[in-house]
Amino acid sequence: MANLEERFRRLLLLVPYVLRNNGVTVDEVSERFAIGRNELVADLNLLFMCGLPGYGPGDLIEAYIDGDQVWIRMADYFARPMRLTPAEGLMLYAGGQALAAVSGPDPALERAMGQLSKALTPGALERVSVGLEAPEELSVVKSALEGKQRLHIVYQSQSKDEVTERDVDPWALLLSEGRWYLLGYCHRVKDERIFRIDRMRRVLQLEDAAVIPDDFDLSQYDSVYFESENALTVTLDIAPRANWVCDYYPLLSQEPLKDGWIRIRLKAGGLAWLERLLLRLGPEARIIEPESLKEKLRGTAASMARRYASSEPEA
Amino acid sequence: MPVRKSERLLNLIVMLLETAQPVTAEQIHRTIPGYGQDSWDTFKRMFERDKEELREMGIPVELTTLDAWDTEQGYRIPKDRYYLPDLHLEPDELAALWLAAGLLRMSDPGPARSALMKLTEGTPPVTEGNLSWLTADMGLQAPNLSTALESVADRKRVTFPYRSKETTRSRTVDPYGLTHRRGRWYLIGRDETTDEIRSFRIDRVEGAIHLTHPSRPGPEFEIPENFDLQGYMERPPFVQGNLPDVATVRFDPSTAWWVERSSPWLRLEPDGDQGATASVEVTDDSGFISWLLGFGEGAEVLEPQRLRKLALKRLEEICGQS
Repeated sequence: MANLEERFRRLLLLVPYVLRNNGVTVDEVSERFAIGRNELVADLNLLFMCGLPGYGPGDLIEAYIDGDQVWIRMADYFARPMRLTPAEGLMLYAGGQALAAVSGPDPALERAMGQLSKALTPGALERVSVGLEAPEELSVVKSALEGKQRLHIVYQSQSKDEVTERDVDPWALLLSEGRWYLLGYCHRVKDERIFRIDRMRRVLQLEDAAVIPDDFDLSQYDSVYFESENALTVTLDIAPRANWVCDYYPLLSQEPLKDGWIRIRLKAGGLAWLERLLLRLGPEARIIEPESLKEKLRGTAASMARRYASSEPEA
Repeated sequence: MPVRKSERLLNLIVMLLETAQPVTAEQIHRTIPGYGQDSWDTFKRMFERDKEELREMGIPVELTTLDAWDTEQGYRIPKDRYYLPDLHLEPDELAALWLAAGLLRMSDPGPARSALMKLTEGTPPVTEGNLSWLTADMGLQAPNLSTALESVADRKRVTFPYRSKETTRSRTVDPYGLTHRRGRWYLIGRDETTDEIRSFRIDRVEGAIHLTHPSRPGPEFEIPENFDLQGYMERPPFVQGNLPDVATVRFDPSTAWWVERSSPWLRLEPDGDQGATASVEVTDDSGFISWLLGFGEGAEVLEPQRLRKLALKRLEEICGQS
């Protein structure tokens, strides 16, 4: 049986539903609330002991199964559903904002979001900001996904700092860590790849039909962190002030050192990305491995330093 | 016995919802089965826990005074805060809500399902489109998010242990807003100790966010009229504060394109070369230098000399590391 809290929450949904649909069949209630007949009977038996103070025959809730039908009476105060909880409201609101970012202006969705704010404490959603980006490329990608058509993209990779052009068969659009990603088959590398929408400098919907595997299952992709051919594993020591790094990136391992420093192993998407992270951290990060990365970083830092060595900016 | 507890909670809801006058703790103790046999102290403990559990399920239990002299206080569940107002949702609005809930299939589906149950009796609308190719993870599984929103919605003061840099200490905050950035949720509010507006990452709360007065009805503070939630989060911390120093930064063409997208708070002035320059108000030198160097060779601070020297110093430190 489900835990007590889950069961109680279900009861608070089930009672209004039955009250407004008295005589509904056992099967329908069972299906709607994903419970068996026995659980339903147990829930109804519990109700039988509840009601208005006094708890006499005229006060208690009547709840029973008659033949195939479910009945609840003497509980008018439960007939109207409850307000949405903050968690419920936030979930629909956040989903609605993600939908709006993808589908563009949609009057029905806007009206629904307006109604949603009435289902919560007044003003609650006005003080919530979801802050999702909606790059214009998103609408082209969406249209290609709907029409199952191939895309041509000009892509500025973050891991390698280079611009490439590719044809991609789009399979899915994912929002993760506040960014939109296209998942699909890349004809350039002849493999499945994931692309950040905001890194697309241009995107074109082609006439060609996209090939989508019959067994493609989006639920298998629970993370946008993919093995990439540019990935490299590094070991870094991170100063206490920079321990946000541990929250931001998926780590292979971490161990505390003295004075609050942390040794982390990290799989980086690419060298360019990693170098920029290290430039940002400055003395708050030390490279342990690989040795070659130290050389590379020193080279870049020296080249940047030369520009600042003269007191005036270069023309 | 678990069944007893469900009965007790249900009876408590009915009593507090249907009462004409707020009821005192003594009345509740006397009336509701399952509380009666225990001592007063046991009752108080059980009752406090029950109230907290109801609150977590979105059921507001309010404490109000029964007379003009504040001598007696009573509890009730206000009907207008308990019941869902009649929203008269149109079929296309319902369809939109179903789609919205469907996007978040990576999160715990419980709250979305119960929300739809309340709004639509859980009957999916017949729609032409399905968005099986679209999924969104918005970090909604973060603990404390529900209490955070409740505190923002009802303008309730909160306390929580918060980890920042090296240390964890307790904060007391008047929350002004809740915002999602990069998959994480932030509570923005006035820190009681420093009297400054700050953002707190919800996943850095070590333990629970508590309302300081959960049963007291009504808001506990005002939000300053000039507070702008959207604007607050768009600007990075090193441009927030007083007395900024203005830095001029140049971006090369490939970086300028990226900065334009990723930093909407910056106004870029294109230069002849497809690159761009921007004026940045700097209040925290070190944070600014980190941000600048994170663009690698794609960005250079042109002015003032003070910040150029700092950039050089940081780069030399990096070169000097063994």
